[in-house]
Amino acid sequence: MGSLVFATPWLLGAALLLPALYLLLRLTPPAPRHVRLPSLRLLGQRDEPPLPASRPPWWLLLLRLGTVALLLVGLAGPTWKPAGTDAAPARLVLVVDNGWIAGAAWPRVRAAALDRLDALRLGGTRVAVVATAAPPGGWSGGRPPDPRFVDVATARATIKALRPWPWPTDRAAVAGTLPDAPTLWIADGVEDAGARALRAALDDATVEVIAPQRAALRLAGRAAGGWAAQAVRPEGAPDAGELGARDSRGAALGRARFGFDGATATVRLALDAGDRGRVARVELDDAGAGAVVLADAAAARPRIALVDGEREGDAAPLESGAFYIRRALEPHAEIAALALEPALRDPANLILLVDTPVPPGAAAAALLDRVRAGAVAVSFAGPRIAENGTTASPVPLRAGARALGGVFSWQAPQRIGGYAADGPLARLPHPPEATVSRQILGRDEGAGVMRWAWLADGTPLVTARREGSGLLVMVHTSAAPGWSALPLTGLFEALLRRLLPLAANPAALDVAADRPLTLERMLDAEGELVPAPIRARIAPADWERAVASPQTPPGLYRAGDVARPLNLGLGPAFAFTPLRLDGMRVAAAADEPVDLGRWLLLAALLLVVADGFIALGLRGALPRVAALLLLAVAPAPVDAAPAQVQFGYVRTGDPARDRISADGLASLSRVMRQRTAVAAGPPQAVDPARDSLGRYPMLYWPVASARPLAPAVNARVRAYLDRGGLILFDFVGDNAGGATARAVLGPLGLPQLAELDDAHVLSRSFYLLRRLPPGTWTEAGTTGDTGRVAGVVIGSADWASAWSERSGVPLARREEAWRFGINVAMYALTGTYKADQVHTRTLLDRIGTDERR
Amino acid sequence: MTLDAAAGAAAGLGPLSLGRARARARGVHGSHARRVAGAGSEFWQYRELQPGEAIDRVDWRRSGRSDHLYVREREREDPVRLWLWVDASPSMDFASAPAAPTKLARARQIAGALALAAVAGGERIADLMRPGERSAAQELLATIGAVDGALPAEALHSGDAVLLVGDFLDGAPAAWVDAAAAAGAVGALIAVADPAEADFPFAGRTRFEAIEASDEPREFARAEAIRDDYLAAWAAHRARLDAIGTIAGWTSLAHRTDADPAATLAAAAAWLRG
Repeated sequence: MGSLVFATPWLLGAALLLPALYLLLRLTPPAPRHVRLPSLRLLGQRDEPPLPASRPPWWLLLLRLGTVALLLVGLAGPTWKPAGTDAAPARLVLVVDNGWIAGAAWPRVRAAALDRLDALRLGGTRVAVVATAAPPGGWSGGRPPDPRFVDVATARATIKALRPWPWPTDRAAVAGTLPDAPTLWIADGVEDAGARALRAALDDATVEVIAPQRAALRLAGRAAGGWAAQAVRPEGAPDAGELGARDSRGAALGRARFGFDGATATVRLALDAGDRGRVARVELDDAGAGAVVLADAAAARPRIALVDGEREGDAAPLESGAFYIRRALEPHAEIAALALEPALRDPANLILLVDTPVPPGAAAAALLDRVRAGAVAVSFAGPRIAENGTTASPVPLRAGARALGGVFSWQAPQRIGGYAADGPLARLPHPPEATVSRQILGRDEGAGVMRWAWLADGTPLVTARREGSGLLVMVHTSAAPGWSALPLTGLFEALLRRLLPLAANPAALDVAADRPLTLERMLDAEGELVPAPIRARIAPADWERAVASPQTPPGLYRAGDVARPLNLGLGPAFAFTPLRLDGMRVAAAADEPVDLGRWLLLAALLLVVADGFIALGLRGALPRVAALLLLAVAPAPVDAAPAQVQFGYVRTGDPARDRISADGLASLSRVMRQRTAVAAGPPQAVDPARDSLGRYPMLYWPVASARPLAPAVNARVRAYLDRGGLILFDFVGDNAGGATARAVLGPLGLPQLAELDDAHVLSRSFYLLRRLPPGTWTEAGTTGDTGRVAGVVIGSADWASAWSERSGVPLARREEAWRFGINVAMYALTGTYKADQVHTRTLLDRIGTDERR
Repeated sequence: MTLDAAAGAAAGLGPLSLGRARARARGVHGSHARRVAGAGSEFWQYRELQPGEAIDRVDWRRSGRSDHLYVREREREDPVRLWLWVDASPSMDFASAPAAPTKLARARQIAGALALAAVAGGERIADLMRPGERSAAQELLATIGAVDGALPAEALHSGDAVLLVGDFLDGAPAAWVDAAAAAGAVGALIAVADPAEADFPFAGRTRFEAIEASDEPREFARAEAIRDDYLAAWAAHRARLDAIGTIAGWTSLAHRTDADPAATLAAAAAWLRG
């Protein structure tokens, strides 16, 4: 069984007022019907009982009370909950997954939870709502709070206030806090490490799985020519998707459609070279935190112009600085090997000059212009610079190189002494094998010159100076292993990588400053960047290991000039593994509750309308209103007129006679089709007492008996004649001098009759007939000059037999009969149209007279 | 409209000669001659042309035999006349259904049809309410039933046919008919009734509005309760009217406005023809 629930049950209390309504209805009875009846005076004045207190009929009273009752119940908002939900328990723990997977389907999750609560509304159940994902910052005290049982309304409010979070659930932590009570788990449908623990903690549990339907990005990163990503989809999700890239303002930079191969898809998103650096986020068309990867500007592959001072073939590859640089940076940057002049015109913002002296002059000016406009020029020392010097150095250089640890030197090759804490090289390691045996020294370190790295004896290894909005950087030893062991160590690559972000933002020198990164904008469960709910900090040392968690929400973190994104980071092993149920009961899908209120209100409305009609009826006004309504509502009556002209004959009851009538009229119709414009259809037998006669322009009526017409037939025939019909009465050779006709047609009340002569328009309505059938009568005064059209033609010539080609009538007589029949039919159709031909001869004569004059 | 309908119905009736009235007149007076000069068909006498008389009245054949001019006089013969009376009381202006004709309209149609048929038959017609008026039939019929009033005590005599059409709710004119019959007039009384009057199809709380000035509106809580009483009163009314049909030379016909007037007309015409 289901249950009936009222939204506003107190309205039902108004039913107490129904008795008062009863009194009210008695006070306002239906108005009396007003009629007139002159003959009522016949009744005389008599003692009439005084009018009783007007009392509406009981059924009307019932109707109105019922209407109001329906209205009240309907307004109280009744809802029928079909059976299917279990009996409401006394206590219920509602476990709701609200991690990033549920966040992608949050409306469904929340609706499911609310539906379950609605089903419990009447039961007085105490409900504890437990969310499996910790709020930002984590649970206070480090563990989930103990569930509190509250009433259903409060639980509803809790569910409504519950938010999904863009990090995984911690089901295992929640499992430890669950009390011993029936539990309903609204699960996101994905198995994870905590699911087993939670299952173990649930013994009397029902689970309702809101299966995920949206794909997620488990890997995404820059690749040659754009981005590459791996999407993973849950079962049942669409097998195609779209990967898009957007810049920081949300403008689309590119899209790639892809199809899933099984559960995963590998997508390559090609982007224009200029757009690659602007990518701020890569996302699937499915929203949700799992489908978004924020792009790390620092991880962009900057374009580097590599200028090698050595001439082609000057040195073996392993002795060339450019070779080592190329090997170190190729995974992280696009390297364009160019000569100095083209390099200055290249869009690359980082120009590496490998032992390339820039002599003062046009090239130096161009280079300095580029640097002042924001470019970074990094020079590596080498024999050529040692000999020629360069203008691209932050410090004036001494000519010649300082050799350490050579045969002419007392000093041993120097190790790295240290890094400037506020420079981009801060906290790089000091590997002992990274020794420098030859360097170029600066003359003096002028104002603005930064020493980013130095050797153990304090001599500079990397110096830099701001030039306009760009940087001039000098590495005081060479990129080839001849001068130092540096290119052979991992430090070389690390050092070069630290320089790469400068290409994007030369101002951000504290890339590696030891300041914690603070959450600036959080990526919420819908995949949107929202203001940070908490002050989350990640120490630089921990950054590489940081994952999205309540303590470190995904989003954009910032430390000084540096902004870095922390992504959900699903990892290459992630998959939407369906949740194992392991014996948990699956909640029956709750049927939609049926809203009865609107139907009750509709019924009440119909009753009101019915009541209105009844009131009108009691007042006697109903027929008029009904007529108006019918006029307004009913479609115009379909005119049943036949598509073509049709002649009718009256059934006599004698089959032989009827067949003759049918044959005769059929022949006449056929002849008329041949000779006239009248395309008459097949003749139709009619019974004047029952059938509608109005559709036939002419009726052929063979009169068999001398009985007068029955009154019912009489009335209908009169109506037919009044509406302009024409009847050809045929007394079939037995008119007894008109006596039979008088007897039969007497009740018809025919006007005076006159014998047909050739003055009558019937003699020329189609054919000019010299001889008319003798003994044929029609109405007097219808010869044509008055416009009156006769309704009857009475004769006894047995026309049907004469028309019919099956009878043995001589051809001449048949032709004569046809001509007369055609004239009668034409007369029925056109009336006195041909009457004016009476004057034709006179008119012609007059014309002739005029000519003679 | 009424006249058109009447003309159509009259055409259906054919010429009507007042045979019954004529026979009655002959039966009472033997030959119907009046022994005085007047309009008639029989020769009465020759007399000399009076000065001032129109010359075309001279009978030249008689005058040729003498020196005087003689006028041929014919014996006066009373023409048979059809007297018409249509009840014009307010109760006649009633139709229970909007589509149905009022009793007055139907009464005028019936009277008009019979009168036109009589004119077509060469008879003369007159309006009882305006006995002296001599106007063409069409004009007379156009105003028939326009004047409300009781039956006038017009001196009728043998050779008169009377047609009374109305609802006679004020009472059957038995005394009047008796007097007319005594004077030698024959006639027909046609009682026109609305279907609602004959059937009383009312139920529930009903208020009957006043029709004539003397009436009071009456209201019944349950109209169906008085139906039997009403139908009894209606039957008594019909019986009083039927009683007129038993008076010598008279007949009483009943007509309902929802019926085809042709039947009533045919019956009345047949009766007037004798």
